[in-house]
Amino acid sequence: MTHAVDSLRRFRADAPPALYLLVVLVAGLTIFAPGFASAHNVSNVGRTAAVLALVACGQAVVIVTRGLDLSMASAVALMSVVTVLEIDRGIIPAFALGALAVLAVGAVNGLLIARFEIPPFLTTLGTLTAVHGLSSVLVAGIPVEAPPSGAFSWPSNGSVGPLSAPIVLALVGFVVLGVLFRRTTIGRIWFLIGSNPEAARAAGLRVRRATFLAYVTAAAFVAAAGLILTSRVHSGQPDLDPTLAFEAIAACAIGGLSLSGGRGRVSGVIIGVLVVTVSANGLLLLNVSSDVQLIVVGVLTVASVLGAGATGRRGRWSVGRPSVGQTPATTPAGEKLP
Amino acid sequence: MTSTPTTDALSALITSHESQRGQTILSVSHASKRFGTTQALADASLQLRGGEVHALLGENGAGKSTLIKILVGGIRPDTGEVRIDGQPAQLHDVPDAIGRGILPIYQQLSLMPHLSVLENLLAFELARGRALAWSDTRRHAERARQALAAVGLDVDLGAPIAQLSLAQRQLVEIARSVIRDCRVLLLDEPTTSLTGNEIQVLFRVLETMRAEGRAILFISHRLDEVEHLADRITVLRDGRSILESVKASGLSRRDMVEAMVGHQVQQPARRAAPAGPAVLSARSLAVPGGFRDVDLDVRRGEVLGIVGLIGSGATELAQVLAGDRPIGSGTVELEGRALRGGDRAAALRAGVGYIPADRDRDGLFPGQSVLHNASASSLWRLARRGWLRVGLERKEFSGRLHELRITPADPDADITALSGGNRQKALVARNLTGTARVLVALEPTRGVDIAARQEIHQAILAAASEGLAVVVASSDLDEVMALSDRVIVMRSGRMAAEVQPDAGVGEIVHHLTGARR
Repeated sequence: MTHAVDSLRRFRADAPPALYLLVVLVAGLTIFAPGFASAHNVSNVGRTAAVLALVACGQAVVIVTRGLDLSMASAVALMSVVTVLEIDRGIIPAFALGALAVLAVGAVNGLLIARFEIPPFLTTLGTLTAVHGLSSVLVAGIPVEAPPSGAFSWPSNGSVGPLSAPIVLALVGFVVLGVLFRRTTIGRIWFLIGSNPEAARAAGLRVRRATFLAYVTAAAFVAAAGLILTSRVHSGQPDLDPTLAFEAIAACAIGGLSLSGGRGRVSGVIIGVLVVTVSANGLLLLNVSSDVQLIVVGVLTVASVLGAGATGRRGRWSVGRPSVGQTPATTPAGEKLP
Repeated sequence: MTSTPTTDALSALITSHESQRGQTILSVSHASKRFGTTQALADASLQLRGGEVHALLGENGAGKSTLIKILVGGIRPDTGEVRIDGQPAQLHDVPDAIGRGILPIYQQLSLMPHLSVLENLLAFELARGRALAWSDTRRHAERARQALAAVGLDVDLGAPIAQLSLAQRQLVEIARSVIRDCRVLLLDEPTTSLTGNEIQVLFRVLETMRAEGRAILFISHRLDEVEHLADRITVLRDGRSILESVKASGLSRRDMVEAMVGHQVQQPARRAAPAGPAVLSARSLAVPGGFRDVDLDVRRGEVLGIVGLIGSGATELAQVLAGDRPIGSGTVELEGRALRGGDRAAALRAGVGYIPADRDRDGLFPGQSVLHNASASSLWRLARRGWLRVGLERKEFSGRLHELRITPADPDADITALSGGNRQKALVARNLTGTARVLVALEPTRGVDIAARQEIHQAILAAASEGLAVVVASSDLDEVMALSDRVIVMRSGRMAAEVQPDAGVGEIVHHLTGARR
């Protein structure tokens, strides 16, 4: 009996408040929004959620290290542009080059943040702008169409058995993120760095190397999202989905990932992504304009961060005592990058 | 940096509280407090009287910090009552308590590192929303200067706190309480980061404040301090006051320890000094602004103590040996192989374990489990091609956590749920894995209760007898003497002497200060 109460209590303590929000959202929309629960709409939500899911997985990696990446939308746009420009080499090499461009953006972010200790916010704000400019320059500001091709459309339109390809990719993304977080050394080190970078260094962890790898890994998730999105729009667009990175940060925050690092679960990322996608879809079905959807996502993000604060700031040394001040999220000297 | 406090400066600042002498100013009766499943306080009472120093004793986890938080309005008790001047009082929050003249000084310093000394001294004024007019600045600066003089601290008012040593920061905190005209001063382990001289300064300040009729409560684990200073003593065990506001004159040290731990504690047995080969060697080692001309060897199975006042280079030397600070010049060799300075990751892989001095700031990972905190320095060893062997991790460390009797016994508990002593044990568990050749431990039992301290000492000595070479740098002379086979005394950046642990405290203090006996 007490055991059952205990595990219920533990579940309640661990479950992000967003889970309840998601349940209420789904129940409400099933009743009030016509066609919300239809098979067509559910699959539509799934395919829309897939891109955000993969980007949010990448965002989760860097958020856990106490970082963040604003440049992801620019990186996805760069991927679409590079892929379409290189399409003459064949579809697979073109996508590979596009993905390589995204990884390069991740490597630049990682290098600046880990090696030169520039705060993640400033670094990725810089790459956000510069990479956007680069994409525009590559196509002289005009979106370029890819030649019609069934193979090019497959990542967005194809299916694996009963599931559409984007959903399969997103599910693979979640599994990979879960394995990274729970079963790999690098994943553990990300959590430890996010929890206390100074202690991570003193414990002999290679903080710079792990931080660098976090941004490259995040870029790999972004490249997978870019694959779906490039295929979907079938063109190279420098202005592709400009709010993607912010929505991903919002999804992580809603899903209970601590933006000050060291805390978060894959289940939270999934819930956060679904809350963002389902609420947008529901508002669409209720004929609310997409501008209002932005307001809703914004409010949800701030509310979830507030909610996390109200349920206790777990995971810091501030249990009733003032702390010496936040340890700055710097990576110290004396360590080589790979 | 510190000078003798001038009593004149103090009395210029402090208005008399003569009328409250002997009166109970602040009291709490039958307080209890539960956090989740933890009963932090069960039935705790104490009374603070004007003109008395009251010592609050107890093991870590006994409820001392909870009781202090109740006294400063930081938390509300589930049951029990706080009274001020005999009247039941509801303290809403810490600023409320401060407004009523109850001033807390925390174990973990609460200064803002990027603000200046002056700004920190005036923090309470600023926090209460009183804008400081420009014309006030001079007057405030004058008061601040007097307060600093009162605690014997000679630093620039404009200097940022970050530039000050831990000890100096502690004195700034005390000065902040001097500047406020407080009736009750609550100090949570004020001496843990101070060395002998500074403790004397602090005690003189406290004695003056006592003479002025204020009530002072302090938490300490050092019984010699308690015997020296306290008029009354309250001992907490498992959230209950075992001894409540008892006159100190009637208590022996043995009475206090028994009340705290409920049983007799034992000193670890001395071991025969080992004569194995040198594992860790330093030659002509120097760090600019820290120390120079250091040559030393630590043998297999040997415990080398390093002592020194703050600024002597003792801490810096230990940090360099651990790879936590770059080498200025000279070499550090581990079994003949040179170690690159300032590279903890390389030092760890070469076999150098490290317990940093400030466990919460530099040691532990808040929000992570006890298990993950303990295994952090073994990940490279537990990994195979990037995969973390979590089964092996749990198997290896849950046994070790159990051996160190860490409570709660749940390896998946959040490290922040543990008391200071248990947190420190997790840090010890991280480093006593049987794979390291050397352990460099700074302040291995700072702020830790007596039972945990004994357990940590025994664990370190047991590891040494299995061949671990240990360097212990501590400001606690008793600790260094209890653990070490040899003790190096640092003074003004040089090795002033090497003494045997059975040398008297007097001799070590003589070497520490360079003063004649």
